[in-house]
Parts: sequence; structure tokens; C-alpha cells
Amino acid sequence: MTGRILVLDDDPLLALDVGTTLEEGGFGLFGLCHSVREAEAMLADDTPDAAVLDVNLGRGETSLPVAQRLRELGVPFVLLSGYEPSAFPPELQSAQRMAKPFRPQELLRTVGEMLG
Amino acid sequence: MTGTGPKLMIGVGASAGGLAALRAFLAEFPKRLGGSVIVLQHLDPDRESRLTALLDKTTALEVREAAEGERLRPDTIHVTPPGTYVEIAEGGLLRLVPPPEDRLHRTPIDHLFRQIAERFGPNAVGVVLSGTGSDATQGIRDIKSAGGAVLVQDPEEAEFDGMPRSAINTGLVDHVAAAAALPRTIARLAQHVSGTEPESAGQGFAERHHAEIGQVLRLLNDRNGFDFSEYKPGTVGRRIRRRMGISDVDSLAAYVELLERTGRERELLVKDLMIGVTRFFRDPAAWETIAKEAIDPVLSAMSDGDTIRAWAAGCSTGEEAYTLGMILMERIQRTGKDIRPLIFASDLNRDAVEQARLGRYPASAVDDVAADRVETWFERLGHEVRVRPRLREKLVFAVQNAVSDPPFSGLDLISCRNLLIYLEPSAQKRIFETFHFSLKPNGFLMLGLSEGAERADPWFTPVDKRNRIFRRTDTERRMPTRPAGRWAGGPRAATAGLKEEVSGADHVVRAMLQRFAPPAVLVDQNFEIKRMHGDLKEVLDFSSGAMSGSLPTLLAPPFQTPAWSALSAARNSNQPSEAPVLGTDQSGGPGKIVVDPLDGRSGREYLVYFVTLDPAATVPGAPASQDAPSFDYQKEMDALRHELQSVIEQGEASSEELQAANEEVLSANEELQSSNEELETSREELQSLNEELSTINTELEEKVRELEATNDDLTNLISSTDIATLFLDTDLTIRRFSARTTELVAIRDADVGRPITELNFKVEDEMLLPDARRVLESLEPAEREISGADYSYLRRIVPYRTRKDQIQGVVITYSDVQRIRVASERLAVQAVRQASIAELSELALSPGALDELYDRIVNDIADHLETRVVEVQLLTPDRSQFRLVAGRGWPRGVAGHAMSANDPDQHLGFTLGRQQLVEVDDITAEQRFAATQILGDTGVTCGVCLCIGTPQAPRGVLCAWRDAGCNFNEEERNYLRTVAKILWLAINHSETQRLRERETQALQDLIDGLPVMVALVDDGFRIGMSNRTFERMGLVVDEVRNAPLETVFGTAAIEALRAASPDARDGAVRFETLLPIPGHGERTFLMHCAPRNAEGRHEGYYIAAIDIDERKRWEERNKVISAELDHRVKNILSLVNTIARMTGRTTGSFREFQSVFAARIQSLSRTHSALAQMNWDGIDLKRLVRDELEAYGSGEFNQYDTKGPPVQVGPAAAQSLALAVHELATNAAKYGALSRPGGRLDVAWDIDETGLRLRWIESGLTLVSEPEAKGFGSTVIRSAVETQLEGKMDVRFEPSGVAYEFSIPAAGLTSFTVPT
Repeated sequence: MTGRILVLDDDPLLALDVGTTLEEGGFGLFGLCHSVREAEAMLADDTPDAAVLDVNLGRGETSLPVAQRLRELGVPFVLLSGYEPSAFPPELQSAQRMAKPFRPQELLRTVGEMLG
Repeated sequence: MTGTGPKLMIGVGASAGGLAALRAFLAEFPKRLGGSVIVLQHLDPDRESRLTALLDKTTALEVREAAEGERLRPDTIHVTPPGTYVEIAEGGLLRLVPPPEDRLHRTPIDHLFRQIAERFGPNAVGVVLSGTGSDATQGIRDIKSAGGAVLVQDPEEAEFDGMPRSAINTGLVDHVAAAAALPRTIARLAQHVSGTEPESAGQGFAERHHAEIGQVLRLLNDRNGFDFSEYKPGTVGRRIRRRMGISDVDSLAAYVELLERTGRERELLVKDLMIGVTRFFRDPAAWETIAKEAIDPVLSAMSDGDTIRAWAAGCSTGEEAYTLGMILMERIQRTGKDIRPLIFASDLNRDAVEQARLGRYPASAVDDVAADRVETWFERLGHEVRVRPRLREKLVFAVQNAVSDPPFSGLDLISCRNLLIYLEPSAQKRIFETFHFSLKPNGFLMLGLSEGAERADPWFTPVDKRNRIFRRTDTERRMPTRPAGRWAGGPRAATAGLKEEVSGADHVVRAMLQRFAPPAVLVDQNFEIKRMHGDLKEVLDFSSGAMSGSLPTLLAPPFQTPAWSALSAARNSNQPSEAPVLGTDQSGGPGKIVVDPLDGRSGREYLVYFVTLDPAATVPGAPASQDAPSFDYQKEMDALRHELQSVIEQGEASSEELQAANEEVLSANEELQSSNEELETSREELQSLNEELSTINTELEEKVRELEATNDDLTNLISSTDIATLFLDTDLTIRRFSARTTELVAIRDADVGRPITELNFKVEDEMLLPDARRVLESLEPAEREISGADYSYLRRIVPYRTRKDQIQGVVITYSDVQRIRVASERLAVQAVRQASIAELSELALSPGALDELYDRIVNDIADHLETRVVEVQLLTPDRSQFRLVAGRGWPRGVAGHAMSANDPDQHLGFTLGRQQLVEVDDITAEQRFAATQILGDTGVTCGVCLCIGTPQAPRGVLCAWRDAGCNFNEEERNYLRTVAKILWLAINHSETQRLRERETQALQDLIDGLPVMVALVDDGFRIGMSNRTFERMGLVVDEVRNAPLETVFGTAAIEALRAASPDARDGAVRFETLLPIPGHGERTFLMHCAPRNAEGRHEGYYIAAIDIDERKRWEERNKVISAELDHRVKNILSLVNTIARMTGRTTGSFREFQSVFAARIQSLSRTHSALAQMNWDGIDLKRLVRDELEAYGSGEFNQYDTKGPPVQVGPAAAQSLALAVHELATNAAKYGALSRPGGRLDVAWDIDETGLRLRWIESGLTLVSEPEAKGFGSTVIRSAVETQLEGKMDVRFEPSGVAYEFSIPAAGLTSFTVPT
């Protein structure tokens, strides 16, 4: 296991795809979650080594609270979003970002760099 | 006055002998003085004077008789006409007023002098020339009080010296000189006042010459004891300048020298300075001393109930007298005694006394008086103060001459301040006597501080020399002597020794005198007998010869010599003397003559006693009779010697007398010579008078010629005039008449002198005589109009006045006014028609008054043109018929309704379109056309018709008809033309108005239809026109009109508009703004503002407000949608990417991958199409399920059924749900109910408030086993239902088939990811 990764995306298919891609790339999976509530519940028990976060979680919810929590925990994360960073909450505008749809190699390299 | 008027105003007064003096005066009068002269010569008021003409010859200056209302001119001699008083009104206008009725008290010179003193003040100069009486004396005081100058002709030179002397006696005269020398003094005066304001001039002068004036004042103080240092410098300066002018001194230094040299000049200057300076509490310190030294002692000697009597002599305008009164009352109050003060105040100047009586003074008069005194004794009345009654009632004012009139008596105090300085020494002496007489013993006299009192002795002794307080000495109290003349008949002081019998000598004394006193004779210093006493028949002897009153010549011879000697001795020694008288037969014995000198009224008198001696007693020690011869010898020798001596003396006396007589003769001769000279002068005067008379005669002849010419002119005028004129005298007899009179009256030249009543008038004028008499009585002109059928005269009667304003009859004129009357009647008619046209025109332009106008027109025409029938016929719009819109003289119901055909053969149709007015003399005989039926029925005959409007565009016809035999004159035709024009105008006007209203309405309708708010606003954004679209703002159009735009659009919008409006003047501006729309909240409007100009002038703006809110919303939405689309496409692509990868993971071959992937993409595509069809609002659950199932409907085993209520699924949920259903359907098609015959699928759902429950039940299968691995499908289904839809999924694998049950909450179902 080369690190356990938290994946947060409201679209379960996408979350599954990201998780599967990471597992196929040799990373461990900390968990797939689809809402801030789920993510916070997971983070309450354990701490991942890195995270891949969708920004817009639907119904007006963003992953900002999770990102802030991760910053507090010192966990690196990458944002995965179809939106331009200008549409992000201001606190997230400087965070590392990858565009959707993602390329598997790029995702693996980015996560690898975060862990390395 | 001084600014623009004459510099000097010279009043010249003359009376008897004045002509010569005036001539001498005017001959020398300077030519360019700049001043005006008014000459007043006493003249007989009833006689015309040639004085102006006579004086004109003596001087180059203009001499003119003063006329009422004439303006004073510079360098002009204005001569007062006889019998008038001259007054000078504001602006130097002369007024001639009648003299007072009382002839005795006419003093026109006084009046003139007062006038110029009042008007010209310091610039007034009074000149008094020859005359008798005392006119001018009072006027001199007025001029002097005003600061003017008075010049008097030398009485020695004057033909009559009364008036000049009276003037000089006032002591106020500035200069006395020959008449011819006076003008030079005036010229000098003019130099000293010329071109300067009096007060400022004095002031400036005083400032410039401070040192020299100080010198003058010191001189007056040191030498004369007058202290004028307190005087205003302006006054002092002015008075000094005037004295310099009169004294002909150019420099002040020279004048100081003159003052030092001559006491006379000092006195004159002092008098000048004293004038008009009286005031309340003058010299307060002196008054204080008077109170202490004089008043208090008098009061202390008095007890309750006494009266203190005081006299203010020469009180002028009363200030001194009131001051004395105040001090007296104050002092009395201090004593606490009940003493009554009584103050007599007198002055010679009647006006001054009048003013004093009033007790009113300018407020400035009490400026120097202590405030508490002012409060106590005065009340303020605006700019004046008035002496309070309790002080005023203590004073008795009288016009009185202190020098010559009887004085008051029993006085305690006399105040005579600053009167003496004006008096001559002899008068001063008399006045002291008077005061001595008037005062009680130990009474006090107060004089002015500057008055010497040398002449007070022996009647008064000084108490306080510095303050001039004196006490009466206890010498005998005597009635003062009076100047001769005035008191000639009055009592006089009797001398001791001889009492006048009339003076009341006791009859006892008289009897004793008769018995014991010797006979006596009283003679005067010339020994003329004045009175005789006792028996004188023995001593008197009248001899023949010239009768003489001399006592010695009337005595019997024995007495003559002794009488001469005794009288001579008495006269020489002024001692009693006596002379013995020898006995004679006649005298009957020796005696003696005793002479006592007495002081008589007109010189020395001598009382001569004739004493008869007892021989024994008279000659004591005389020898006996035998010694008689020797005795006689001796005695006779003595007597002879004595007689000789007396003869010698007598001779000497005679010689002296002769010498005196000679002197007298010589002087008589001189007098005769001067009389002769006077006669010569008179003769010369007569000669000149004669010459003047010749001149007058020539003038009169010239005048007669002029009168003749005038008379001729008048005669010609009367005969040529067109006006009948009658001249009647006061008895109304004919004096003269003009030729035209014969037209009215049967009159011939022979009728002159006959009474008017005898004449036969051709015209009716019975009021002539009463009117003429009334004019004679009232002297008011009278006018009357005399008119008959074919004539009309204006008869005017005026009084006939002669040049001297006498009424000598009346003048009657008859002016022929027939033509005027006719013209004025015509004018009146025209005026009425003009007024009618004016009113009609006004009515024509009033909106909506057309019907009223028609009625007025027919009525006016009928009334003013006297036509019976009037018709206003207007064409109907199709021009086929006329309608009688208004008319007069029609049967009831016709006017307003009747229609007539537009037929050119009838009068209406004929007239229509004709420029000319159509006149009809007889309608029944008319060839050109016929009357309309209804007109024919009225029975009219003649009339006029005119077309209303132009021939090209006629509107109708106006006709006026009369019954018979009539022509319309030009004026009437013009009236009708004008009325027709007015009608046309009114109709056009009304039509235009209607058209405009219609256009306006159309425009309003047009803009009302616009979906845009449109308004016309003025420069102040006040709304003019607007459209109904404003109703959106909750306003109706009527409310919007005239409202400020703010009330509609709100302030913010208007601020923006105002800010933009300067730009909008040059071109339209537009901007967006939010406006509140009732019921819609704020909506976005596009405001459009464009300038509105009319005839090049900026009038305001067009405002349009376009609601662009909808458009704005769409734009916003488009933006959102395109952003969402981008996101969604990316999401979809991301999903496709994910599906591809995941499908790749679960399929074995590329073929398999290809078919599964394509099916999944198609499902995705289907849902997408369905959502897009529904405009992304969602999709019905049934359709979603059926779409997925139908995709497999191509197989033969598609036994499925769907059942459930309509449920709308949001777009996001729809995608997940569609994928889930797709995977279920794929599984069912691959492995389940749809994969083999007999299989059956039932999809059923229901929905309530908790959410949706959907059941997927497959049945009809056998041996269904749970799949071993979770494939992509189950992952999709689970994640879609559980995470995305927040629902729950329950799977049961039954042998007959699999059964799913989903519970999805309502929230997850409708989730809609497109943001709104």
C-alpha cells in the first residue's frame, strides 16, 4: 500500500471511477464519499494520506469544509472540477486543481507527487 | 434761497419826498450786483402810478412793476404797485396781497422788510429813504434779528426826515449816508456775502482768522466790557465780515485797527453781536447772583399772601421773562411762603410779544437748560417745547415802549437786560428815571452783563457791579419827564413858590394871597408878562405905540426904571433883587420893586412884586420934612445915578437884544434863501413833471391810434364771422350785432339801442331772456342748444367784461351746429355698429359659441339696420342644401330647421359664390332669380344678400330684408360685409378647432397604444401630454397632466434625467433605471430623453420609458444557461469517460464493450433528449421507465407493465434513475424476465408526502440465482439510488425472479441542479 486516498464526488459513478483508477494505479483507497457529511464522518475516525475532491457537490454544497479540515490535518489534496477556478469559493482558488474529465495517468502522477 | 436765488435781497422803502431819493439811490445802483431790489414807495392806492416809468429813466437796470406770481430776478428793480403789500413765496415768487382794512395801521414797508428778513435772513438789506411817520421802524428789527443789514438815508439830506430818524432811533441801523452813497455800501456788502452760504462762510472765516477775531473779542471785552467769547465763531465771523463790508475795510487787521481807533465802530459791532441772541438762562452765573442778591432779600421781607411784582422790560421773544419767572418761582418755593409772583413782560416789537405769549420755542432753545428745569417748566411737543401753563399764567405780556410809554409801578424787581445798549444816552437817562419811579423803595434793577450803568446815578446804587445788580436809591420818587410833544398836554413838575391855580391851590391860600400879598407879575427871561396877580392898575400904564408884552414898557413911568434895574440885577446875579420906587402922585407914595428869580418850565422866570411902603417904615431913619430938599436931592441923585446905571445896562441889554434880533433876521434870511432854493427845486420838478406829462400824452395818442385800429379789426371780425353775435348791455338793449344775426332775428341797424324783447326771433328761443339775466347775475357763461326741425344752434352767453373787469352787458353768440348734429347722430349710429362688430368678433373667436354668434348676428342686423327679416343660411356638407341656422322675422319653428335647395335660380343659390353683394330692389319683380319658398312667404320686398366665405369655398349666404322702398347705404352695406366676414371667420375657426381636436385625439390614441410610457415635459420636467401607458405606474392620464415628473418616476430617476438633460438639449440621451411598478416591484426601464424644440426655441423634452425588465431577465438567464451547458457537457463527457472506462473493466471483448457501451450511451442520450424536450424542467417517471424498457422492445419477450401516478423527476435525478433503470432493464434483458418467454416485469410506484416507492418485480422465471460479483450495473444502481437520490434500495432474489424496491424521498426526486 502506498497511501490511502480519500475520494469525494457527488456523482457516485465518477467517485467510483476515480477510486477504481487509483486502485488500478496501485494506491490504497481510504474511502469514497459523496457529500461533506459523509466525508466528515470518515475523517472523524481516521486520517487519509491524500485526497481527491470534487468542488461542487450539488444542491449548493461545496467541498470547502472538507478541504479546510484536510488543511488542518495537513493532508494534501487535489481539486477535480469541470468548473474554472474563478467559480470556486475564494479559499479554494489557490488549491491544486485538475480538470474534469480527467486523464488517468495525470491523476495517478498528481496523487503520487502529493504523497512523494 | 442763497444757492439759486439772488445773492442780496434789497428792500427799499420810501414815503414823502421819496421820488428824489429813489432816483438818487437808483442812479448809483451797481449794474451787476446779482441781487434783486424791491422798491416800495407809499402811494395813493386809488391812483395809477407812473413810478415804474419814472424810475426806469434813472437806471440802466431793468425796472418793472411787480406782478402776482412773478419770479424775483437778479439785477432787477421790482416796483410795488400802489395799494398792495408784497410777499415773497417759496422759490422767490412775488405775491401781491391786499393791505389790511385799517388804513391807519398800514405799514407796507414793515411788511416788506419782514418778508425779506424771513426769506433771505442774513442776505436781506433794508434801505430807508425820505418820508414821514415810522413805517419801516418795525421792519428794521426784523431784518436785524434775521442778521441782515439796514441802511438809512441821512435825515439831513432827506426831504422829510421823520422816517429816517425813526429808523435811526431804533439804534439798529448799520449805516447812515446820502441816498446816492448807499448803493456803494450795498456793493461792499454784496462782496462780503457773495457766493457763499452765510453760516459756513462765517465759520470758515472764523477758522481762518482765529487770531484776529480773538483780538477783536478781547478789544470788546477790555474797552467796552462785553464778553462775546462764548458766542458761536460762525456768528461772530459773519457779523464782523458785515461790519467790515459796511465800514469799507478790506482786511481784518485794518478792521482791528479801526476798532481800536473808534469807539463808535466798537459800539456798532457790539450791537450787531447782541442781536437775536436772547435765550433761556443767558449768563447762568448772573442769574444765580440775581437770585441770591436781589430776589432772596425781597422774598425774605415778604409774608404769606404777598405778591412779588417784577417787570421784564424789553423781553423780546420772552426767554428772559420766562427765565425770570422760573427763578422767581423756584426761589419762592424755597422760602416755603405763600407768595404770588406776577411778572410784567414788555417789548416794543409786537411780533416778538406775540411769540412770547405763545410760549412755544424750538426744542433746541432749551438745550442749555438743566434737564430737571426743562422737565419742570416745559412740555415737549414734537420738535417744540411749550412753557407749562403754571409758569405761563404768572406772566403778563404787553406791547410797550419802556422809554416813552407809562410804566408799571409798585414793582419789586425790574430786569432790563440788553435793552440799554440800543438806546441813546438821553433815553438811557430817562429810562433810569422811569425805573426809579416804578420800583418800590429798595427795589432791585438787573441789567445785562454788558451794559454800562454810568447813567444810573443818582437813582440807583450798585449792589453787585460785576453782575449789574442795582438797588433803588431813596431819592424823591418822581413821575419821570416825558419827551416833549407826546406829553405836551400832560402834567409837569411844578416849581416851588408859585402854584398853578389849576393845580388845585387852596382857596384859603388864594384869599390870603389876595389880602396880604403885594401885586405881582410873573415874567419870563425876556421880561414878557406871563401871569399877573393882585391889583396892578396903579403900576401898569399902556402907552401908545406897538403893543409889547415886555413888563418894563407897560409900567407906569415911575416904575419903569426901577423895574429895569431890579430885573436886570436879578437876571445877572440870579439872586433876588430889589429897587426902590419914588413916591408919585399916581402911585401914592414910595415903594419898592422886588424881583425873585424862579426856575420855570421853559427857562428862567422872574416874579416881580410891587411893594408899597409905609413912609416911616419904608425909609427908616429918614430926615424930617424940613430936611426934605436936601434929602430929596441926595435921594434923587442916588435915584438918577441908579437910573442911569440901569439905563446903561438897559442899553447894553438892548444892544444884545438887537444883536440877537440881527442874528435871527440873518437866519431868517437864510431860511428864506433855502425856501427859495426849495421853490427852485420844486419848479424844476414841475418842469420835469411837465415833460413827463408830454411823454404820457404822446403815449396816449399812440394808444388812441392803436385802439382805433383794434376797433376796426373788431368791426371787421364781427362782420366777417359766421357766428351770429349779439352784444347787449346790462338792460338787455342791443349794442351791436353781426351780419349773421339777421338770419335768426329780424334786426336792422336801426334796432341798436332797442331792447331785445322788442325783436322778433325767427328761431324758438324763449329761454334767451332768463338765460341772459342769469348770466348777468352770476357772471358765469351759459350754453344752450337751440334746435328746431331744420336748424340747430349752440347759443352761448358770456358776460361782457371791460378791461377793468366791469360787467357792461352780455355777448350772445349762435353757432350753427346743424351739420354737427347730423354728423354726431350718424356717428352715434356708427358707434353702435362698431361696438356690435367688436362684440361679434370677440364672440367669433370664443370656443363653442357659434350658435350664440348666429343669434347675435341676426339680432344685431335686425336692430341696427332696421331689417324685418334676416337669414343666415349655411350649406350642408354635401352642398346640396341650405339650412337656415338662424334668423329673425321667420314663422315659429322655421329658423334653425328650414332647409332650402342649393338652386342657382333662387336667391340663395344665386348669391353663393358671388364676390359682389347682391342687392334686390323688389324680389317679386326680380329677373335674375326667385325667392325661396319660405322667403316669399314672409312678404319682404327688398334686401341684400352676401356670400359667406370666398367664391371658391363658399359656406353659405347671409341676407337682410326690409319691407319696401329702401336702399342700403354704403355704411350699412359695409356693416353687412363685415358681419359676413365675421361669420366666415367663426365658421372656419370652429372647424379648424374641431379638426385640431380630432388630430390631437388621434395622436393621443396613437401614443396611448404604445407599450412605452411617453410624455412631453417642459424645462422643469412638468408633464404636458402623456399616454395611457402611465396607468401601469398606477396613475391615470389626467392625474399625470401637469404633475412634476418626480411624482411619477420617483426622485432618483429624475435626478438622473436632470443630470443628463443638458446633453439632451443637443441630442437624445438614454439610460437604464429602476422604476417601481405597483404590483411588480422594481423593474428595469430604458429612459429615453430627447430635446423638444419649437421654432428654434428649446421647450422641454420628450420622455419615453421602455420596460426592458423581461429582456434583462432573459439575458441573465441566457448567461446562466450557457455556463451551465458548458458544465453539463463537461459532466456528460466526464460521465461518458467514466462509463467507457468502467465498461472496459467489465467486458471481455471489444465487441461486447462496443454493444454495452453503445447501449449505455444511448440510454444516456435518451434521457438527455427527454430532458431537453421538457426544457430541462424534469421528466415524467412513467416516460423515463418506458423509454428505457422500450429500448429493449425490439425483442420478442417484452411482457412488462408500468403502473403509478404521474411523478415529475428532476433532471439530475432523472439521469441517475434512467441509468439505474437502464442497468435493471439490461440485466432483465440479459438474464431476467425479459430474457426468456414466460418472464414478466411489473414496475409499479406510488408517491406520498414521504416520497416515492418504486417496485421492480420480475416473475415467471425459474432458478434465479444471485449474481456472484457486483458488476458495473449494480454499482450504478446502488450509487444512483442511495447516494444521488438519497434513497434506499432493497433487493430480493426469488426463484421466480429478482425484486427491487426503492424508496426515494421527495427531496431527492426533484433535485434540480440548474441554478435559478
